[in-house]
Amino acid sequence: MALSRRRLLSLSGSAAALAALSACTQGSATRRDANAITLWAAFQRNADRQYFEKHFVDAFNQTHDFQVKLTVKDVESLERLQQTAIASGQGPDIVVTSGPSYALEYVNADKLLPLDTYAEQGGWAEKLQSWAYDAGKVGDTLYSIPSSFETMIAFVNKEVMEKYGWTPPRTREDFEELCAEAQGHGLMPVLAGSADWKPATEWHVSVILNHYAGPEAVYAALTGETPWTDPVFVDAITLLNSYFQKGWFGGGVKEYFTNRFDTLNARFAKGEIALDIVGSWAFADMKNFFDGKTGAGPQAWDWAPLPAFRDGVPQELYTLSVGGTYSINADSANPDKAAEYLTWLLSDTKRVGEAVAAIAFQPYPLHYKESDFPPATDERIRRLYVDLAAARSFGYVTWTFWPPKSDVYIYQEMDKVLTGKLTPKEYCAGLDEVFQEERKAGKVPPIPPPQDA
Amino acid sequence: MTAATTGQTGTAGSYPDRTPQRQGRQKTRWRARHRRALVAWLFMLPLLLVNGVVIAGPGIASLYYSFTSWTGVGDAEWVGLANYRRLLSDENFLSAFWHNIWWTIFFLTVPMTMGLLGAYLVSRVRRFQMFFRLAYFIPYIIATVVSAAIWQNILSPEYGIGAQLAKFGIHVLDDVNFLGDGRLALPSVAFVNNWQWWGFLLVVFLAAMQGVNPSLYEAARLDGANAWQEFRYITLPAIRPTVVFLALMTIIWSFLVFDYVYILTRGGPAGATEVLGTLLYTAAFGSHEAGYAAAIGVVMAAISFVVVCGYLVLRRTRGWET
Repeated sequence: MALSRRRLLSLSGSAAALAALSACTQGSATRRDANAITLWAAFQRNADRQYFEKHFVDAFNQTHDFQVKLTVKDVESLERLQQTAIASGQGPDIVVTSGPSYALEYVNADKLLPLDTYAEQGGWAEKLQSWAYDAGKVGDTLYSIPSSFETMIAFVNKEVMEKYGWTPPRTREDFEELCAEAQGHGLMPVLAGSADWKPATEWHVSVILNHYAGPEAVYAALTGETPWTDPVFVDAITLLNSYFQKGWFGGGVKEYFTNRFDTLNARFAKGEIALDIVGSWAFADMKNFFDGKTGAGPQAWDWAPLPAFRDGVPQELYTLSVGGTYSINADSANPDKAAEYLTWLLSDTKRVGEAVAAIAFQPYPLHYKESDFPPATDERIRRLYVDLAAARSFGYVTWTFWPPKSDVYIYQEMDKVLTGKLTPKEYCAGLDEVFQEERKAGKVPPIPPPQDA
Repeated sequence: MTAATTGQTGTAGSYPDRTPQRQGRQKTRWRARHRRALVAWLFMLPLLLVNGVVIAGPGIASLYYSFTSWTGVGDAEWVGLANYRRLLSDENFLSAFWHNIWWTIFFLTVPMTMGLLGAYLVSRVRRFQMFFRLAYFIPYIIATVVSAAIWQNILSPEYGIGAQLAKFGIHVLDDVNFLGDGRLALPSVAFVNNWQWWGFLLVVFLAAMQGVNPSLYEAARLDGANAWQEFRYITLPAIRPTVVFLALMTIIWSFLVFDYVYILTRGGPAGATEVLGTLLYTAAFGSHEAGYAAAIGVVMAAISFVVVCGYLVLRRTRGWET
């Protein structure tokens, strides 16, 4: 049959549209490859990506009879893309989330497989720190395991500390004295900003809730024993707000909203900022900015546990944070292989230790010993993970243990407290309302007890 | 229509019976008409398919999900009008809605006025007109993320325009934080968006103005009209369809605004620049309230629908299409 030009054009158009539409299903086709499992991931830096590909994907692929196919996504869009894919019965075999409370959304939708059998076969309970293992349970069933762990600490520039005769603060009095003096010397007392990451406000809320109210009080509220309107939480938020109003955090409220991390980190390395209260993920930033060119040299930074802001709160308290989770997609065609890969990831503390030494990798919460880290590991980084594995007082960060809506409330509405649109009392009342609603809906993840977690 | 139904049967010997020929021609015309229609539909088919998948399908799904408490994954539970009732009492929604209205008013006035005025002035330039057209249009072809990054630096209190002026002893902007101050943040974002937008309006208005019959201006000048009167009584009525159309699109786009707000402030500080687009995004992918986000989306679509209907009514009743 002869084709007229018009018909050819119209048929070509239809064919192009069909081809474009069929391309939409390619993700699932990849996942259903019997000899491969898929993992979507995002990396802050290209070096992290290259290291992970080489040591955590290629190394596995070379020694196993099936392949792990890593698809790298943009940090900001990974969860959104994955959520859309999983909702339509697609997505990768191994599902990554921002934390147990986000994994819980998939559990409630029956999109994740129970992992208990795999955990038993792979000895995950023995490999992982107990709090981290329990954080992935819903009821008595395991649905996720942590893909990293972090804690909030105070970084210091030792040259600044020596210059002004300061030591890392251990109590609220120490902290306030240091901040007042730093401000008097024209320094920014505490590095803080939210221009790059709007939820950064919740870092400070997490710190003050745990280190002022204390982990016992937070645990009681998270398990529904006490409301968030308890005066101890209102006082904690009031105290944090007063620090912002004094200009101690980020140099002032207005500045806080436009401060960028790169600029702040450079100023910290130059000795213009006294303290950096941030998560342990910032080890990589320390390596980058304390390079002897931007500011002080590589040995000038150090870290210390955060001060206790109230009597009775433990001094050596670490707020626990799961930086993300791994689960297995309920629609996976290869769940056994996905579980085998997860077991492999958790199987070698030395492999993780080497990654920590090489790129300040955020490690899986395994039981680390000094010897797991190669000699080249920065002593300050090794100290944190060894201390953390041995610590007995734990707190709770909002992005790991608060359900999603409450988590968003924590930082969005705290910004309103800082700008005077809400009082601390109204803030806590609003938080309690949102939290109780989510608690009733079964959206609060499992909360490990604060002691001996 | 057949010959039998018209009664024009004719008689043998008087006129030849042409009914079969007529029927044949009618059939041919019918076939040709249908073939043309079929070809037209075949041309439209790819676009219809894509629109069906990208717009109609998700649109209908969003309408359905707006009546559910869907989290974004799994099954959706029907909650009736609960999401819409919540919209009416949600301070964040009402605040974002107000910001969109403010944004609409701003973009209906400032860039439209600048575009009209600029186009009129450029239309009177005889030499280097192309230079001015290009100069004003260039911001429009810069990627949003690039121009936002540039302006973020310009407006930064640390190394932006305020800090640079301070180096020369000019301290008027020392305490001004354009994007960090809740009172200034929304106007600042709108200013940056306008910087990119108004040049486009200028070029479109200029093109419309060049279609105005020059003899009208000559006649007006003979009658002693000044420049303002020419603009008021000749230019503006002549380009009214363009103005109305761009006003319509401005209203629709103002309720869909997302990119500049998200890049420059992410809705902050403390919700000072939150608009419906950013609120929807946070609800869907931050709070995992996809059902509620769908309700916000439906409201945004409904506003656009009302605006388009209003435009169509105006076109019919006021004859604004010509």
